[in-house]
Amino acid sequence: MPEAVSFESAGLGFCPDCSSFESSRDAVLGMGARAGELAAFRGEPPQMASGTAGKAGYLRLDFRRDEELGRTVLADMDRRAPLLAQKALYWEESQPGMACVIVIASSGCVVQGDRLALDVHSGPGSCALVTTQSATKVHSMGHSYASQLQRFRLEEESYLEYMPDPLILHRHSRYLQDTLVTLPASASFVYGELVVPGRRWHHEEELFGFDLYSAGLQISRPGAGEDDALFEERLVLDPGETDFRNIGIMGGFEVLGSVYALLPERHTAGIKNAIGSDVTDSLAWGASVLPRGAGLALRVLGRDTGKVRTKMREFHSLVREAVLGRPLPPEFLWR
Amino acid sequence: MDRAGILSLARLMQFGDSMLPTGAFAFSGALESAVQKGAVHDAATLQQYVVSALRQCATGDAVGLDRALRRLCADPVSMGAPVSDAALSRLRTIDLALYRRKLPEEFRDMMTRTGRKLAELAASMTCSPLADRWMRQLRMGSSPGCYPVSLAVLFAASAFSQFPLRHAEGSEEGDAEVESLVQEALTTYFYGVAMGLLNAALRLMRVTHYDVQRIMYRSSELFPELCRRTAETPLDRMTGYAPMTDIFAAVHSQGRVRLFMS
Repeated sequence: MPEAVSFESAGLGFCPDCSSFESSRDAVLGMGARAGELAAFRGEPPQMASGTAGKAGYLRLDFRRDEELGRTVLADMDRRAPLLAQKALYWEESQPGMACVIVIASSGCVVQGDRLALDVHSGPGSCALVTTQSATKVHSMGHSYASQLQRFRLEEESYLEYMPDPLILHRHSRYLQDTLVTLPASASFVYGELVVPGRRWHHEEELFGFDLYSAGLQISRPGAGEDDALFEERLVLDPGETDFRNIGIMGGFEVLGSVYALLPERHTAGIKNAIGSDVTDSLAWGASVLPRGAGLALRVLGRDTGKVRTKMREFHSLVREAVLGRPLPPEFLWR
Repeated sequence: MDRAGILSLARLMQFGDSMLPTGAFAFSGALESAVQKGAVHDAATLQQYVVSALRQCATGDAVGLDRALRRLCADPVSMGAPVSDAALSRLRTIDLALYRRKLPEEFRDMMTRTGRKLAELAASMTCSPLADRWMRQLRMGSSPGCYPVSLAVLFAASAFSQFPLRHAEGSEEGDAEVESLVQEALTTYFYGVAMGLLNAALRLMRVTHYDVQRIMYRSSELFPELCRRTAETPLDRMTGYAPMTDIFAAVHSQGRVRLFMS
C-alpha cells in the first residue's frame, strides 16, 4: 500500500513504517529497544522467544468510501495471528454508512513477548469504527514485556473512532504502547482508552501490582510546521516509583479513562462546556483543550469501570453529534 | 568561596526569589480548584500536591531546562562568541517540545506568560546579546517562550557575561562547571515550582506560614533525586502522570469565581 501521507517527526524518536507485516515488526521491536523504562525487562522468555510467529501480531485495516454503495468499506486488510479481523459490519443504526470492525485477539490475552502492531488507514471521506470484542487482559509476566504499536492515518474529511474495551493490567505485567496519529485539519479521530490496574478481587497484591505501563501518544498534522507534531504525551505508570494515592495523581481513584477527540477547532468549546467537569466521591472528570488546535482530551477517574465508561461514552456521543450530526445510539443491552 | 562563587550564589538567590517579577503569583497550578473541591484541605494534603507537582516537573519541564542550558554551555556563545541562529533554533526546538506536551490549556498559558516575562526581565537585567535575541524571538512569535527555556537563557546569560566558562568543553573542570550551573538552575526551578504552589496555598486555604516553611524544607530534600531523574530523562521521552491534576485544571478552567489564572 502506498504511503498516503508523509510522516516526519522526531517526537517519539522514530518514524514507524507499518505498511507491511515485516516493516511493522521491525518498528515494534525498535520501539521496545528505545524504551529506557523497560531496561529491567529485557530478558527473553525461556519458552517461545518474543516476536516469533504467533507472538508478532499485525493487523492492517484500510477503509475507503464507496460512492456506489453509499457507505464506507473495508477495502483492504492484512493480518497475522494473534491479531485478526473478519469483515466490516454496519451495526450503528444512526450511521448506516459507518464501517464497524472488531479487532480480535485470537490468543485471548496479551502475554510476555507479544509484539503487536495495528495500522489503520482512513481514506478521504470515509467513516469507520474500530473496537475490540472484550477487555484486553495483559497477563502476568516473568520475562520480557508486551508491546503494541498503533498507527492511524486519516485523510481529508475522514472520520474514525477507535474505542477498544478496557485494558486490564494483571499483577507483574509490563506493557508498552505507542500510538501515532496523522490527520489533516478536516478529519476527525476519537480514541478512548480505559486502564484498569488489576482484577480487584483476584489477589491482595493485584491492584496496582503491575510492573510497568508506558503509553506514548503523538498527534501530527502534515504541514503544521516544526516537525508537524501538535501534541505529545507519555504516561508512565510505575507502581514502584509512583504513589497513586497522591492527591495530584489519582487521589484515591483506581480506574483511568482518557478520550482524545481530534476534531475541527470550531467544535471544541461547545463539547468542553457540554461535558463539564467535576470531582465527586465516585468520579472525577474534565476536558482540556489540546495545544495547537489539535482538539480535546477528556480524563476520567473513578473507582468503578462502569461509571468511567459511561462518562467516556457521554463524551464520545457529544463528539459524534458535533461531527456527524447524530449522537450515539443507546448501548446494546448485553454490553 | 572565591569571587565567582559568591556572585553565583547571589544570582541564585535573586533568580529563585518569589520577588522576581514573572507574574507567577497569578497562577496556582490548579491548586485553587483542588482546594475548592476539598481534595487539598490541610498541610498533609498540600504537601502531597507539592510533591506530585515536583515529580511531574522532574521528568517533564525540568528536562527542557536541563537540555537548553547544556546546549548553551556547549555552544560557542558560552566562550563569548556572537549568538548564532543555530543556537536559537535549538532553543526553539526544546521550547516547542515542552509546549506541545502540556495538556491543560491554563498550564500552557502559565508556562508561556511567565516565560515571556522572564525573557524580558533577563534581557533588561543582564544586557546580554543572548537574552536579547531570545526575547526578540519571542516577540516575533516564532517560539512560544516556555518558562524553563527562558530560565536556561537567564542562567546562561548571567553566567557567560560575568564569567565565560573558563575551561575547555570536555575537560574535567569544564564538565564540573557545566554540571554545577545546571544543578543550580534546576534547584532554582524546583524551588520556584514548590514556592509558587505554597504561596498560592497561603491565599487559598487555612495553612500557617510555619506549615508552608515546613513543607518547603521537607520537599527540598527531594531535590537531589529530582535532579538525577531529570538528567536521566531523554527529551523525546519526557513523561508525566497526574490525571487528577489535569482534572483539577479542567475544573478550574470552567470555574465561575477565580482568584488565580490557573
